[in-house]
Amino acid sequence: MAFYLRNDTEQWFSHIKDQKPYIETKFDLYYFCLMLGLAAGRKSPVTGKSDATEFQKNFVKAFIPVQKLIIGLLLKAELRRLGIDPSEKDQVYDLLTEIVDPDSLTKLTEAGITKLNEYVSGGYDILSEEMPSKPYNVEDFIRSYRQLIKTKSL
Amino acid sequence: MKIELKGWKSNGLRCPDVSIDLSLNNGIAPVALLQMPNGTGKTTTLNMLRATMSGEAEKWDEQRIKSFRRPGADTEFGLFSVDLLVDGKQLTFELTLNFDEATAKYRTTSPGSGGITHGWNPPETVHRFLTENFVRLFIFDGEFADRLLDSRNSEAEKAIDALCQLYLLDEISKDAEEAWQKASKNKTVKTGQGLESWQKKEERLKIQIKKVSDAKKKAEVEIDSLKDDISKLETNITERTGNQQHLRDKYEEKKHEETNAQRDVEKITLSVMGLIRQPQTLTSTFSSDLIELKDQLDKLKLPSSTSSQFFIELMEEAECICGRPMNHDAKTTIQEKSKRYLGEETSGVLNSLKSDIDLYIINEESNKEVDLTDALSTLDAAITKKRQIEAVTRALWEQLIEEGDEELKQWERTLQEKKERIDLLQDLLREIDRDIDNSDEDKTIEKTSCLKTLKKMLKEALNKISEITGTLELREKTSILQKICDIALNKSRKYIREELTQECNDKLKEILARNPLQIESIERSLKLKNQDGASVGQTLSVGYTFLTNLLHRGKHQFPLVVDSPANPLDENVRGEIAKIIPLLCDQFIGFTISTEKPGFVTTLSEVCGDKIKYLTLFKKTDGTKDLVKSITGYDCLENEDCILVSGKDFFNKFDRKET
Repeated sequence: MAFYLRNDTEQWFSHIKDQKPYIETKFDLYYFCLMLGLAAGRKSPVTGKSDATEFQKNFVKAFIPVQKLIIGLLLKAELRRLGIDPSEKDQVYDLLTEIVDPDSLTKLTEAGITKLNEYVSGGYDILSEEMPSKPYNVEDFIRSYRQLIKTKSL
Repeated sequence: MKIELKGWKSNGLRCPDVSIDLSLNNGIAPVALLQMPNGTGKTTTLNMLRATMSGEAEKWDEQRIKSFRRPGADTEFGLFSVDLLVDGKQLTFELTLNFDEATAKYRTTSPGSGGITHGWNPPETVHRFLTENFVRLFIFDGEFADRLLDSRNSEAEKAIDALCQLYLLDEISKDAEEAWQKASKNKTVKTGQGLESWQKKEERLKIQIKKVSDAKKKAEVEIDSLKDDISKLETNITERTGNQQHLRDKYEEKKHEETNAQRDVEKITLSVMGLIRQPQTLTSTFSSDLIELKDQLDKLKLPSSTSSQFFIELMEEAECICGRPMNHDAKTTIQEKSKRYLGEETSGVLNSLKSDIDLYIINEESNKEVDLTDALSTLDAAITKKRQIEAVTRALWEQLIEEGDEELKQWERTLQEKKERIDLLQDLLREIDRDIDNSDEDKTIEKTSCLKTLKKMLKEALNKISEITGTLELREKTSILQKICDIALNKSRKYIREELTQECNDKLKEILARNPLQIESIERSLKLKNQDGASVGQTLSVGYTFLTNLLHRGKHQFPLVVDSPANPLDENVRGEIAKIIPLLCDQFIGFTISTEKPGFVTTLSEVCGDKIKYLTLFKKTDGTKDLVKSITGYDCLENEDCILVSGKDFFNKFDRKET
């Protein structure tokens, strides 16, 4: 299992995706959408490979320091979404084993990565709905993005 | 293969009726210099040489054909024939222009392959070297040198591909494709498998890929050309507006501020991106969520101090830690309960998550969310400042233009138009080069312009056809071979270009020692280093250097025919060019005028000694009566129209003031 980015997402970012050095890799675009999806608790399915493209198998260097925090945010979002009572040890345990795979480089199971990809897809839905147009430069985008993520945080 | 020019004959054309024989000492002269004063028909002769060798006259229109009729003459026909030696074997082309009927007809004589035939019919092995474009490489004029440096043309790329035979890789690819097509067509298939519809789809896709690829190439060429134009326009505008010194100074000052402001924005954006890559900076909700998660895990004692491994190992013991024997029931119970404990590694991940929450959030001294807010405020301020400066700079620029003349305003308008056109073309290229996405799903093939999508669709169609016709393995092998050819073509082009750039630059250092000029890169055209344009002499030097190096690299030998080889060059440069010419080609034919002799002919004569054939051709007119008298004693051929004199003495003595 790998990180997938919806094709329309990449198209939406087409004007800024190659604006180096700000956007280092496609993972930056993935991260923008993921954080928005996690903040808003919004997921949407990534249907079939024809709609999305695998771009990365592991976390890229810039995100390795925050890899566990991202997993933590995924756990928290799923606990909230599933309405799991924090005191229900068995249910929390089940979710942990469903999402965390200590043997993989990402530390995520296939199901964990699928969920992450779904939050990315949900995050992109928010971006395309809420932003007035495709971004044309990074400096303008990040300012609007920050405002949006704060508004959408649960 | 070696192609030599043995000679030519002309009759009834704008150029003199003459027969030129380039043989010398039982062979072909390595260097032949044909001195023809201006107005004798040099350009016509060169055009006819090209047309006769390349077969291009069949495409000429009436006006073009009639332009070769001798002024004032009422002859019906004009004839030009060229004698070539191809690896020592004679090959003759005759071109007859019928001026009344405006037709061009060829005859080919090739003793080795069929004798005399009607039409332009070179042997197959020579065909590709006698195309219109290829012939222009070795029948060279100053305009060709210009085109080598013009980004709107791709003469440099074509020359490399032709002389280094890179087209062979394309041919391999095409042959492989044809072989597969033949194999798939020969198979009998059951009806109802849709073979015909897939074959039609394949054809449509190939047409569309060609159309999009051509559009891409055209857009790239236009962008290069627009960039050149923009650079020239900007230089012109800068020079013109430079006259309004006070305003200009203010503008330059603001432009400098604008650059600094842009740099500030870039620096801050980069640091903001660094902060954004830490989730806890984006919203305080993330920090509180993570702290809450850590608390929940702590409360649930996750991960617990005991891991599932402990119980698995315990089951291997003879008795439990409580002292009871480890029987089947005990083992089953322990195994069941152990499932509720996390493995050591999973526990490790959870512990690591908790310690990261401690490190990055709980124990972090500064509030990261505030840090990002502050950084974004700084960015806001920097962007506002930049935009204000940009507005002032733009206003000053407009003032400069307003205070300038009409031409300046027109330059500015053209500049804007060209910039907009580049944006448009870049959008088109982005669309052509983009990755595959689902936006193409509802489009017809003819409306699709994403090359990757089209190629993917073609691959699918080819595979489908292969499946139906049972030629899947051959299809796969064909695709692999085509991929290898494609990679080889791109790599070869890259390496040859790099090597040629180096070789040409080494040579240019010698030739243009006093006024050094270097090639930055060779793409479709030659790009000069730190130079928007070059003088005529520089252009010609670069053109010679490039072409002679290229001709020297190939496996084939061609004659190099040059019109006025040294005319625009300084005397010292002429000498350098003259020194390299005999080294770089086996046969050189120069159409010269008398003023070119100093530096060029003198040096060539020193280098080549008696291997040069000297010819002087002039028309019989009232102005050349004195010359006619001076030919007595020389080896000459005379007719009603002109006189051709052989020999070095007359060549050197001949002196006409050229205008």
